[in-house]
This record gives sequence, C-alpha cells and structure tokens, in this order.
Amino acid sequence: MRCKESREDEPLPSLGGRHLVNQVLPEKRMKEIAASFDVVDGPNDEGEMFTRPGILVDAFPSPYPNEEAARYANGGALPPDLSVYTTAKHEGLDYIFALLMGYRDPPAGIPCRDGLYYNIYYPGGLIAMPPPIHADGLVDYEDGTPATKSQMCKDVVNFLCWASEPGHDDRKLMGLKAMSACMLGVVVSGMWYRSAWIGYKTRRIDFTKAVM
Amino acid sequence: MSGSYSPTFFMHFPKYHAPHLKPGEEAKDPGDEMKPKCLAACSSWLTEYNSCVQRISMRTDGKGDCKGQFEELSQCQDHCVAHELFGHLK
Repeated sequence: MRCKESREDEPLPSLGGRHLVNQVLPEKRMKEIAASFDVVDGPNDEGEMFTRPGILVDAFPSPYPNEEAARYANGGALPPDLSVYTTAKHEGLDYIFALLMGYRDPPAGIPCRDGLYYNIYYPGGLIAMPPPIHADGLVDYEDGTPATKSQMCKDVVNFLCWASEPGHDDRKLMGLKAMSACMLGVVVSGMWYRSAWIGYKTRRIDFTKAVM
Repeated sequence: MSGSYSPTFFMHFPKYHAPHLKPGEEAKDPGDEMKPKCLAACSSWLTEYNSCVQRISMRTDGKGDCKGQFEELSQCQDHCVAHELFGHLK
C-alpha cells in the first residue's frame, strides 16, 4: 500500500497512533508499537535534531523521506495520498479493492513495457504501481485469520475507509439519536399542545342575558 | 458530505465462514479458488476472447488487440467471484 506523505507543515490532519487507540488496539499495545519506530525530533537545546522512540501523538511514519525519493522508488510516478481516497473517488472502496485485485497478464496485442503492469480496472490498463499485494502471507494476523490476498485487500480497503473518516460511525450514530429525539419531541410537544389548549378549543361561550 | 459506500435500506453483510483446514494445510486464496469455476461460467466471453486471439495471430501487420474482449471476460469473472468471495473474508 502506498502511504501518505506526512510532513509537519502539512495542513491536513495527519493520522497517528492515537487514532487507533481503543479503535483497533488497546492503548498499551499501541504505545509499544509506536515506540518500535524511531522518530526524528528537535531541535534540542543545542540546536540539533535527535532521534527518539515514537509516541502516540506522532503521525504515521512516511515510507519515503520526500517526494523525489518517492518518485525515484516508483519509476517516476508519485504515489498519491490515500488518506481520503475512498471518499475522493466515486465508489472509492470498490475501485481500490478492484484495483488491488485487478492485476492480470496483459491480453493479446497489448505490449507491456518494463516498469508497467497490466490492471484491468486502471483507466488505460497500464499502471506503474507494481502489485502491492502480490502474494499470500505478507502479514500475520494476530487472531489467526489466514492472510490470503483477498483478505489483505479487504483489510487495506477497510482501513482506508476508516482513515478517510474516522468519526463516520460516531457521526451517523449521533445523527440517528438527534433525529429520534426530534421525532419524539414533535410527538410530545404535539400532545402537550393538544392537552394544553383543549379547554379553549372545545369551550363554548354563549352571550345571553344573565338570569338574575 | 461524501459517501464512502452505497448503503441500502436492508443492507446484507455476508457471514464469515472460516475455512475448514486439515492440520498442516495452508489456507488458499478464496478468490483464486473460485476463478476457474467462474471462468467456466463466463464461457461465452472466453469464446469471444479466444476467437479474437486467433484473429490477432492471423494478422501480419501486428495491429489490433483483444483488450475489450479481455475486459468483458475479466469483469464477468469478477462479478461471479464477488457474489461468493466476501463470505470467505473476515
């Protein structure tokens, strides 16, 4: 998977280990994982950059130090920022899943020069990205789920969907609660209205001569 | 607001079925396992593609390709795989 470039001056909010706490892994385990990465921080009192173990508030480490390195490692094509890709593209989830699973041998008559790969779901068919998920068992799942290609593709897509909108489920739940509360409020206030005004609605005033 | 996916009112999520593995047996990719069966289901597109390959190989000017036929074949195959695949993924 191409990962996003995270720089400190980047205006977009960068996802970090803290976003995974209690969403994916418990806090203690997440801290251990964060500490296994080295992060360049600084400058310190002497004005020098130093390396320290990562903490939860650090952004996810970037696979490339800068854009030029990313281009050089990928045959001149800059890997896109995938952090909001599932929402940026129409049917983004299905597209990325299909793209990851869509690497085939080129059909008859299509020359595929070096550094390009044939992918039926990529516009034009020839893509510079080598198959990111090319074999079974690239990762080990802690719960013993077999790490097949399809399984890893599904997990990548699920992660990207979550990463593009981490608050999506909370927002929808809050919306559902708010809508339900409003509906209940309409019913209750309607009943209150009827009961409060019922005396005026049903009364009759007769203007007759008072009988003394 | 952007929609990450297309929810429907009665959304159906396939139930996960863990593979039945004998001891010492490696789990195979369910997608790869379904592909030959699905290729047979798309035999009409396969016939189209094969006849195209034959046409291409007859030509001497090296022009033409079978991209369209290949895309139809692959999409038919993937539609067939997608119906079952997600029951095998956790």
